[in-house]
Amino acid sequence: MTDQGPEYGGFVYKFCRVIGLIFVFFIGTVTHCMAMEDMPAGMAGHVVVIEDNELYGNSLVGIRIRGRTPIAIRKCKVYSNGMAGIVVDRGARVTVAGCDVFKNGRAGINIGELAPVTIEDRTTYKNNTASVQTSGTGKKEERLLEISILNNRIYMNNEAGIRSMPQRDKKVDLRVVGNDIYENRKAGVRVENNTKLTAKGNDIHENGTLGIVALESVIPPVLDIYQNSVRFNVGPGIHIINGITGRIGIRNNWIYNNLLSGIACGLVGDPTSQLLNVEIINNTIVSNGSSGQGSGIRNDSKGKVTILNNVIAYNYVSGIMTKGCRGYSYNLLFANGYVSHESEDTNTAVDSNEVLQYAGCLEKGKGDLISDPLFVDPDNYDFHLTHKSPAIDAGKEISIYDDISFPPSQGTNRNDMGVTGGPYATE
Amino acid sequence: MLFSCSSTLPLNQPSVKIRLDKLIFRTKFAMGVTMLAHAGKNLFIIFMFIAWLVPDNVVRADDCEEARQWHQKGLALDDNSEKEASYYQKAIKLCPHYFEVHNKLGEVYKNWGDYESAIKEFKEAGESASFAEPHYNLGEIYRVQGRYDLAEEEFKKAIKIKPDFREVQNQLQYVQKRSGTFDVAIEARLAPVRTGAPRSPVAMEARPGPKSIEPRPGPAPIEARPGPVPIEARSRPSSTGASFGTIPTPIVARTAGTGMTLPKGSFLVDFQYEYWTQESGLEFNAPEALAASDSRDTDVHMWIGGIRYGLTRNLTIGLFPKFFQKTTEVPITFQVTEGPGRQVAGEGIDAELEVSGFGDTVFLTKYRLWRKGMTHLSVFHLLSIPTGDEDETAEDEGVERRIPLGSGSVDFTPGIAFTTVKQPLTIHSNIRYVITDGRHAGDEFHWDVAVAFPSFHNLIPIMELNYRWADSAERDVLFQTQLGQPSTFGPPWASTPGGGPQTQEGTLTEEGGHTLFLSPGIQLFLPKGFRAEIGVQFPVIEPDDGWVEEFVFHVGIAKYFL
Repeated sequence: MTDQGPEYGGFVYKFCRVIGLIFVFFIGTVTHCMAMEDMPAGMAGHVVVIEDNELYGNSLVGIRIRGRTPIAIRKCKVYSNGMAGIVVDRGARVTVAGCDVFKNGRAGINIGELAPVTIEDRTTYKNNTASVQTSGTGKKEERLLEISILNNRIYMNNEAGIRSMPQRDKKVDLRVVGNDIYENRKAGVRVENNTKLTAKGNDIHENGTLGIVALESVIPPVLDIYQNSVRFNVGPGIHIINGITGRIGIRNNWIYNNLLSGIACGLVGDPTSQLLNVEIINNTIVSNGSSGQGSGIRNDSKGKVTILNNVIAYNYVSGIMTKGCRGYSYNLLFANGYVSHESEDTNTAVDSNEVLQYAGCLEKGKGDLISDPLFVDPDNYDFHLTHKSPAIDAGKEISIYDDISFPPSQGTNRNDMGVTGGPYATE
Repeated sequence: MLFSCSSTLPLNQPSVKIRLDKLIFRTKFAMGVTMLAHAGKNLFIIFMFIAWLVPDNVVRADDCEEARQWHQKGLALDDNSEKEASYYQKAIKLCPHYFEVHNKLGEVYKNWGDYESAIKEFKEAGESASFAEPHYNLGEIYRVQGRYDLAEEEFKKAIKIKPDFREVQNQLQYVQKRSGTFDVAIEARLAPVRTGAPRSPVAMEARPGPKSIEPRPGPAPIEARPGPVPIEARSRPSSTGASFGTIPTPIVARTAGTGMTLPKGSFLVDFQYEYWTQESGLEFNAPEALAASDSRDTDVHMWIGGIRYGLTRNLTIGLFPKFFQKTTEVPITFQVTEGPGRQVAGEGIDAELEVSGFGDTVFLTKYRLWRKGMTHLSVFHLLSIPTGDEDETAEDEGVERRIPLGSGSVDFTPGIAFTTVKQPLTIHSNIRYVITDGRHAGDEFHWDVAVAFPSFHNLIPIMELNYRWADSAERDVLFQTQLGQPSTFGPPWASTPGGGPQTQEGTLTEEGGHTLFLSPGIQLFLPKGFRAEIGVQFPVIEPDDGWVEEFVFHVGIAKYFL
C-alpha cells in the first residue's frame, strides 16, 4: 500500500505495497497475480494505488481489475504472464502510469468495458497480442469507454500496438497522444466499429502492416488524426476503410517512407464502401510506396474524401490516385511516379508528368501546384519548407484554413500547404 | 594461406576464417612433410596433420559460438546503448567474420550518428554475398550524406540479393529522383508539365552536343574565293576543321555540345535544325589581278541527327552525323584591259553557289567524375571524324568554287562540364578546347555559362553566355590562271596563243579573335517524352576582323527512350 497521490484527493489508502495483501491471490499460481474487486463499504471515493510491484509468471493475468473503485497502477513491472498483463473489465477508473508491461501471453493491457482508463508514461512491448486492447464486450447496454493512452512507448507487440474493437452497442472514446508506437507486428493503431479516435502527436513507425488503420465497421469510427509522424510502416501510413472525420480530421501529419500509400481510403478492388467522409488537410506526404505500389494519397472508395492543402512528393506510383478524379484541390505535388531504369516495361509509361502526379487523371485540381516543394533537407527526412517554397501561402484562401502559428507557418496568414500550415500547425 | 570453415554455420552467421602465420606454417610444413613421408598417404594422418598445422591464434568454432551468445545479448538489449555495442564488439573479437554482428554494430553506430564507423561495419557485413541488409544500411547513410550515386549503388546491390526488399525499393526510387535520374525518366516518358525548375543536373549538364561539333560556318570563305579558278591544291577547305566551338544555339545548356549524362541503358535521340548567316572576312594574298572581294555572305542550313546512349551510370557515348546545305554569293569583278598596260574595273558576276551533303561526324564520350546531390562534374571529349567531302564544288554562271562539307582532318575537343542546381535556378558551365591540325582553322577555346529558370508549367527559359577565342589560321593556296589573260577574268576562258594554264601561289588568312555571344532560348516539354526547343544566338562582342556568325536560329526536338 502506498500513499494516495495528490491528484486523487481525499483519504490515503495503502493497499498493496507488496504482493500478498487482501487482494492478492495465489502468487505464481494458476490464477491472477492481483485481482481487484469493488472496494469494501466505506472506502468508496478513494483510490487504490498499486506501486512498485513486479508481477510476472502468472498463468493468467498479472493484474485484473473489476468494480468501480478508482485504481492507480504505478511503476509496476507486469510481464511474462500467461494471458494479459493487466485486465480491466468492469466499472472502475483506472490509471496506469510509469509501468513496464511486456512479454505477456496476450495483450499488455486489455480493457473490456467501463469508465475512464488512462495509460501514461509507460512501456508496453513484446506482448503476444496488442499492447493495449479494448474490446468493449459485456453488458448489452450502450456504454462509453474512455481511454487515454498518453506518452507511452509501445513496441514489438505481436499484434497491433493499440487496438480498439468495441462491439456495436459499445462506444470507445480513445485518445492516443504523444506515444512512440513502433515495430509492432501488425498495425501501430487499429480501430474499428464505434470508436472515436483522437490520435495526436504520436510517432508511429516501422510497424509490420501499417501505421493507423480504421477497419470496416458497421458504425464507422470517428477520426481525428493530427500532428503525428507516421513513417516507415510496412503498409500504408494511414488506411481508412471506414471512417468519418471528427472535429479535426486527418491534419498536419508527417507521413513518409511507408511502403504502401501514405494515406489510403477504402479497399482496392472494392469501391462499394460509402461510409467514408474524410478530410485530409495540410499533411506532408513524402516517399511512400514500393514494389510498384503506393501513392501519396489513394482513394478507392465511393465515399467522400477531401484532399486539401497537402504537400505530396516523391511517392512511388503517383501523388494522388482517386476514383473519378475528384476531391482534390490546392495541393502541391512533385516528383511522384514510378521510375525505374531497371524496368523494361514501357507499357507502364504514362503520357505526361501531370498524369503521373494524378495517376491517370488528366487535370490538376483547382489551385494545385506541380513544383518542387523545396524541403529543408529531405535526405535527412526534414520536410519543413524553405522560405522560398512555392507551398507557402498557396493553400486554399479561406479563413478557416489560415495559418495562425508563426513559425512554423511562413509568409502571410494564407494557408501554407503541408504540415506547417493551417490552424493546427505546430512546431 | 587462408582456410575457411564456415560450412557448418548458418548463413550470415559467424564464418571462421583462419589465417596462418607464414613463418609458423613453413616450419611446421617441413615437419609435416617428414611426417607424411612416414605415414604414407593415409588420409587420417593428413587430417591430423592439417589440424596440427592450425596455430593457436586461429579463430575456433567455439569462439563463434560464444560470439553468438554475445550477439543474442545485444539483440535482447536493442537500445542502441554502449552496452549493446560492447556486446557486439566482443562478439566480433571472438569471431571476426560474424556478418550479422557487424551489421548490428553498424546500426548502433548509425543511430549514434557515427557514420564513419557505421560504414566500416556495414562494409564488413556486406562481404557476405547473401546479406542484403548491410547494403541497405550503407545506402541509407549515403542518402543522408547526399551521396546519391553511392546510395543507389548500394540499394541496387541489396535488391540484387533480395529482390523483394521493399524498403530498398522505396529508398532507391527516392535517391533516383533526387539525383536527377527521375527528371531524365520523366522527360523520357512523359515530359510535359515539368513544373518548375529543371532540377536535373543531368539534364542540364548534359545537353546534346551536336552543336558544338558542327562545322563552323566558315567554309565558304575559302572556296568562295573569287579568282581564277582556285583549284586549291595543297590546302584543304578550312571551315569545318575548327568546327566545334560555336554554339549556335543557346538552348538547353547544350552549350558544351556534350549531351546529357544518360542513365545506363537509355537512349536520347534528337533532331536539330540550324540556320545562320555569316559574313566572312578573309585576307587574301595573291596576284593583284586575281583579287576579289574579301567578304561574302554565306547562308548555312544544318540538320543534325544525334543519338546518345548511357553505357554505364556515368559514361555516355554519342554519335552525331550532320547534313549541310550551303549557299554562297560570290561577287566577281572583272578587270578589263583598256589599252596597253591599263586595267580598269569592269562588270561583275554575282554567282550563287550551292552545295549540300553530309558533313563531319562527331563521336562523344562523356564521363561523370563526381556527383554530390545536385552538383555534377564531368569530363568529355568530342572526336570529329572527317566524313564530309572536303572537295565538294559548285558552279554557277560559269564560276566554279570548292565549298567543302567536311574538314578533311581529325579534330579533338576535350572539355569539362559542371552543373549545379540552386533552386530554383540550374546553372551550367563548361570549358573546352578545340585542337585542330592548324592548317585550315586555328584552335579554339570556349567557355559557356547557362542559367535555366522555371517559368510556366512546361516552359523553361534559358539564358546563356558563350565566349569563344579563336586562333588565326593561315594556309597556302594555289591558283591556276590562264597566261595572257585575265583580261577577261572569269569565264569564258579564252586562251591566249602561246599561253596556257599557269599556277600561282598565294596565302589565305582567317582571322581569329574574341567573341561573346548572348543566347536566349526556351525549352518546351511535350507529351510522349518529347522536348522541343527554340532559340537564337547573336554576338555582343566580336573581333574587328575574322568571321563570326551574325545570327543563328535554332530549333530542335528530342525524345528519350528508357
